[in-house]
Amino acid sequence: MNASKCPEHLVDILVVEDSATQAQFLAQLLQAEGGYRVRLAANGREGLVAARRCVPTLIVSDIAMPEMDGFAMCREIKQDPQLREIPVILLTSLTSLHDVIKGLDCGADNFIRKPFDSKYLIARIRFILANRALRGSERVQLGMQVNLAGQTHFITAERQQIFDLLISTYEEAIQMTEQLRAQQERIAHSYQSLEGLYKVAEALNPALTEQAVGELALERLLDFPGVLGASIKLFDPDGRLRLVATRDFEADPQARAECAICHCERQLQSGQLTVPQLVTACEQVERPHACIPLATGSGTRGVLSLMTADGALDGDGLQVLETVGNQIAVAIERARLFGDMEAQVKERTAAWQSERKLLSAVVNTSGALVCMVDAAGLIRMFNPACEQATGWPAAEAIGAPCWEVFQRASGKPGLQRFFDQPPEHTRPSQVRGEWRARDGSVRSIVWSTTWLRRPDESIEYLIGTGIDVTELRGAEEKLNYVSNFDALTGLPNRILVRDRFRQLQEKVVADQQVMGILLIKPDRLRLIAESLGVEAGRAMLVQMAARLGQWSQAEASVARIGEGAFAIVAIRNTATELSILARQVLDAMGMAYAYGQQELHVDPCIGIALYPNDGEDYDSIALGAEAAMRRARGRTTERYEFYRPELNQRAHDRFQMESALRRALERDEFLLHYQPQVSLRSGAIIGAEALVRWQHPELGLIAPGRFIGLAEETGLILPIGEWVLRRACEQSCEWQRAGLQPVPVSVNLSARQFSENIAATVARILAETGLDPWLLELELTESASMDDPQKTFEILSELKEMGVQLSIDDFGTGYSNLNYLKRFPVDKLKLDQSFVKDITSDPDDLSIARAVIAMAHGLRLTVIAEGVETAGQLALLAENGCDEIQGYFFSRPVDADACGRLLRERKSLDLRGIQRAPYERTMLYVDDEVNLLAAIQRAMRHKGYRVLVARGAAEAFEILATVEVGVVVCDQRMPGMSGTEFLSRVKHMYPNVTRMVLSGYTDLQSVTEAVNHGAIFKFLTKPWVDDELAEAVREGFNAFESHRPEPAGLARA
Amino acid sequence: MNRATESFELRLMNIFADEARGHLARIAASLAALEQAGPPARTPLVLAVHDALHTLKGAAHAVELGDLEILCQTLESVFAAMSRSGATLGPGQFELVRLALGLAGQLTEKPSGRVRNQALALTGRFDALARELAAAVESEAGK
Repeated sequence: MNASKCPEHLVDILVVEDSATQAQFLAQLLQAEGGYRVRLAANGREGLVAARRCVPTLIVSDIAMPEMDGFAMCREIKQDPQLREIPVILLTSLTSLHDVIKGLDCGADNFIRKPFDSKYLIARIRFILANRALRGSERVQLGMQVNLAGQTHFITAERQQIFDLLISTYEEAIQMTEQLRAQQERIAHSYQSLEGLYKVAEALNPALTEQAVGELALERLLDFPGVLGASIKLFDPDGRLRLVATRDFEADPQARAECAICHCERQLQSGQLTVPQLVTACEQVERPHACIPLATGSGTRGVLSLMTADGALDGDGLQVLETVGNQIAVAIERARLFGDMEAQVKERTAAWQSERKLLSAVVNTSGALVCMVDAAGLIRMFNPACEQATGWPAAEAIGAPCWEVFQRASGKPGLQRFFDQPPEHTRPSQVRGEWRARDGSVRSIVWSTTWLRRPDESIEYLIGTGIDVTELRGAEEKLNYVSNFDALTGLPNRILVRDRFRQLQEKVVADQQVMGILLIKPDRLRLIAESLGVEAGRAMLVQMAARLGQWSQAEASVARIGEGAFAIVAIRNTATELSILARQVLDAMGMAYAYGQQELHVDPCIGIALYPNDGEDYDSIALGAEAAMRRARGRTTERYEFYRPELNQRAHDRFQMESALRRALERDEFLLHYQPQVSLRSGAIIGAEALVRWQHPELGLIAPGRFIGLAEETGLILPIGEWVLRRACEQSCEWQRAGLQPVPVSVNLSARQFSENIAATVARILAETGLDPWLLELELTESASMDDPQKTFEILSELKEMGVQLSIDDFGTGYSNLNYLKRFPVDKLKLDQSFVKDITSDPDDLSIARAVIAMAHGLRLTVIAEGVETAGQLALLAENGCDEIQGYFFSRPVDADACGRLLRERKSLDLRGIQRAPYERTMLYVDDEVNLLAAIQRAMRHKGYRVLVARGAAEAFEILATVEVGVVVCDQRMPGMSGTEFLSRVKHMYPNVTRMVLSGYTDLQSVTEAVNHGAIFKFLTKPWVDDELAEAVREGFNAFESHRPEPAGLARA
Repeated sequence: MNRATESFELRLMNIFADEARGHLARIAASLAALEQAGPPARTPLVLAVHDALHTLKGAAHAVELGDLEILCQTLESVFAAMSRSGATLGPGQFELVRLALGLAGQLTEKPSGRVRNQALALTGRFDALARELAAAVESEAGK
C-alpha cells in the first residue's frame, strides 16, 4: 500500500495511545498549543495502519498497548522504507533501563518521560520538527553492544537517535532535578509553615488578654516563610477596628494618624474578606500584603495583615495563614471569655464578700443564737449570742464537739446520738429545753435546727438558731403563778382550782366516784383582823393555809378562793367519805393558832356540794357549797353541811355511830360470843370461834355486820380487834382455870390488823394472858391473805413459829394464788358458809365444796365448814369428807358462860344422823299436793318399798342428802322449781338415782324439756294407773340397783 | 496545565469515565481469573492487570485525579513485583485489591474526603506489599 502524504504546510501528528483519555488530552494539547493536526490510533497496529494510509509528520506513541505495543510499532515503522523517516517519540515512564535499550533497539527517535510537561513536550516536538531535514542528511548507523542485567543487547542506532536520546535523558535529569528542588523547597516551606503554625498555637495557649494574643502571635508569625512584618486589628464592640499589635508593618503614618480606613478594612467590614487575600496596595500600605480575617465559626473578630516577600505566598501558604487566623481568633475569643469570666468572678466575689459581711453583721449583732455544726458534730460558727448564753467564748467553742458546749440541764446525753444517727428527713425541727451554761446556770433555749445537705444527700452542716427564753420563761412562770396562786398563802386561787375541778371531772365519772367542793370559812377571822390588826388576820390565813396543805394530794386540791375562804376539791368513793374529810378539816382548823404570845381560835364551818349530784360545773357546785356553808354557819353542833339535806342525815347518823363506837370501847360495851366447832369424826367440840358483839346501851345487842365496816373505815378496828384477841385469850384461860377441857379459841383478824405488828401484838397478849399458843387460832380471810401473798407468808410464818394455829377464813370467796396457798403455814381452811347454804340443792355449791375439801386434803389441811344449819348439809359435808363444822345445827354463837356449859357438859354432835342405814328400796315422791302424796303412799304400800314424800324441792333435797333413795318421782309443776329442773339437779348430785316425772300436763314442752335435760327415766301421766306406776317404779329400782356401787363403808363418822 | 476550554475538560472527563470503567472491569475480570489460576496461567493475567493499572494511572494523571493516580501507581508496583517474582496474592490480599478497585471507582468521580483518606491508607499498605514482594525477588536473586 502506498502511503499518501499529508500536505506540506500542515504538520500531521499521529498519536498512538490506547488510553482514550490520554489520547484526547494529548490531541488537545498538540492542536491547541502546537497548532498541529492530530490523528489518533488506539494501539500500535492501528497506528501502523494509520501511518501507512497517510504518512504523518511525527508519531507520538505510548509504549504499553494492546495488540501491538509502542516498541513493536516503532520497529515496524523504522523498517518500512516509506515510513522510516518519520520521527517517532515514545512516551515512556523510563522506569527501567530496559525501556531505553528497547527504545534504541526499535529505532525510536526520542523519548518523553511520562508524566510529561506540556510545554516540554511541545518544545521537544518543535525541536524535532526543526531538525527533521538535518536528521536525514546526517544519518549514520552505529552498532554497539550493551550489557544490561546480565544480558547482552546489540543496538544499532543512528547517531542522531542516540544524541536525541542523550538530550532527552539530560533534559529529563534537569527536569527531575528541578522538580526535586521544587519539591524540597515546597517541603521546606511546608515544614516552616507547619512549624510556624505549631509555634503560633503553642504561643497562644497561655495568652489571656487580647494584647498578649496579638503580640505573641506576631512574634511567631515573623518566623513564617516570607513574612516581613505583621499587624493585628480587632473589632471594638462598636464595630470599629482597633490596632492591637504591630511588628515591622510599614503603614503610612499619615493615613494611620488620620485613622483612614483602607481597602482591606472596608472589605472586612463589608463581609467580603472571608478568606486570606493578597492585596497589592491599599490606602495605608503601599506594598503588597496579605489580609487574613480572624474568623471563628461565630464571626470575624478582626484582621491579620502580613507584609511578605514578593511571591512568598502561594495558595498553600494562604491556606496555612487562614488556619493561623482561626487560631488567633479562637485565642482572642478565649481571652475575651477569660476577661469576662475574670470580671464576673471579681464582681461576684465582691458581691459575696459584701453579702458575707452583711450576714456576719446580722448574725453577730442578732439577739438570736446562731450556731453551725459540721457533719462530725464540730462547731463551725458560734455567734456572740451563743457566747452570751452558754458562757463559751467563740474561740474555744469553734472546733469543739457541739455536745460538749451544749449540754442538757438534765444531764441526759442526746446531741451526740443526734449526729451518730442523723435523721433522714431535712425538715426543720424545734428543740425546746433546758441547757447548762458553762458557769452551771440553766438556760431555757428554743432551738430551730435545719440539716443542710449536699447534692448527694450527705449532710454538710446543721444550722441551729436559738432563742434564749430563760428570762421570758421566768416572767411567764411568775405571771402564771400570780394568775393561779394566792400571793399570801401560796395556795392555788379560784382560777386554778376551777381548772383542777374541770380536769378531775372526767375521772370522777369514769371511776363512778364523787367529787366535792368543801367551802371553808373561818367565822372569827374578821373579828381577829379588826381587833388585832390586818397583820394578825394575814398571819392566821397563812397558818390556816399551812394546815389545809396536808390535803393537797393527787386527788384533792386546796385553794384560797376569797378574802377569808378556802376550798378543798376532793374525790372520794362516797359522800360519807367526804363528810369524814370535812370533820378532819374542822378538827385541824379548830385547833388553836399562835399569834405572838396569844392563842387564837377561829370557828370554821364547811359547806359541801357534790359533783355530779349537785351540778354540772364548778360554778354551780361552788354556789351549792356556798349555800350549804351558810346553813352550816347557823348550826352549833355539826359545823358542816351538805347541799342536800338527806346527805346531812346520813352523815349525821354515821358520825353518831362512830362516836358511839369510840365510846363503846371506852365504856367496855363489847362482848364476845363463842360458836363451838365440832369434829365430824368424834362429834366432840374441838374449838370455839370468838365473835364480837356490841351491847349498845340504847340499841341493844348489835351484830358485827353493822359496825365492823365503820370500824374498818375509822381505824377503830385496831383497838377493837386487839380487845377481842385479848378477851378471847383471857376467856380461854378462865375456862381452863374452871377445869374445862382446853379447846382452841379462834379469833378473826381483819385485813387492817394483819400487818407487821400483829405478831408482836399476839406475842404480847399471849404473854400477858398466859395462854398456851396452841390454844389460839387466828383466822385470816382469803382475800386479805392474797393482798400481798409474800408479806402474808412472812407474817404467817412468824405466827406459826410462836405455835399459834392458823386458818384461812371464807375460803372460796376470793381469788387464791394456789402457789402461795400451798406455802402458807396454815392448818385449816374454812369453807365459806355461802357454799354450805345451798349445798343440798345446788350442784355447783356441792361441786365447789367437794373441790375445796379435796384440795385442802391434798395440801394436808383440815377443812371446817361454816354455817351448817341442817342435817342434809351436815350429811353431805360428812359424806364428802369435811373434817369439822360449826353452825346453828350444832350451836349458835353463845355467850362465854353458855359455851362454858357446853364444854363442861361435853356436848357432842349426834353422828347417827350422818351414818348411812343399810340399803332398802326407798322411793321419794315430790309433789306440792298433799292428797297426791297420800295417794302415792297408798298405791305403793304393798310393794315392799319405803316411800318418802316431800312437798317441795327443798324438802326433797334435804331427804336426798340424808337417805339413800333409789327412785325419785316428782310432779312437773311445783312452786319454786319445775320437776325437770329439780330432776336435772338430782342427776348432777346423785347420778345413779332413777328419776321419773309424774305430770298432769302432757304438753309437748314439758316432755321435750324433760327429755332434753336427759334427767328422767320415765315420763308418767296423771291420773296414774297403780299397776303401771308400780311397774315403772319396779323398773326404776332395777335400774338403780344395777348401777349402785357397793358402798365401801357405810359408817360416815 | 492549560486546558483549552471547560467543555474540553468536561468531554475529557466523560471520556475518562468510560475508559476508567473499562479498565476497572478488565482488572476485576483478570483478578478473578488470577485468583483461581494455576502458576502457568498467572503470568499473562498479572501482566494484564498491571498494564490496565498502568494505563488507568496515566489517564488519571491526564484528568488530574492525583489520588487515583497514586492508588494505581502503588497497585501497579504490586503487580510489577508479582510479575517479576511469579508470586501470587493470598486471599486477604486479593480482597484488599478488590477493595482498592472499589475505591478507585469512587475516585473517578468527585470523591469525598473519607474515600480519599481510605485510598491513601490503602496506598500505604500496597506500598508495603510491593516492598515485600520486591524484597522476596531480591532474596531469590541473591540465592
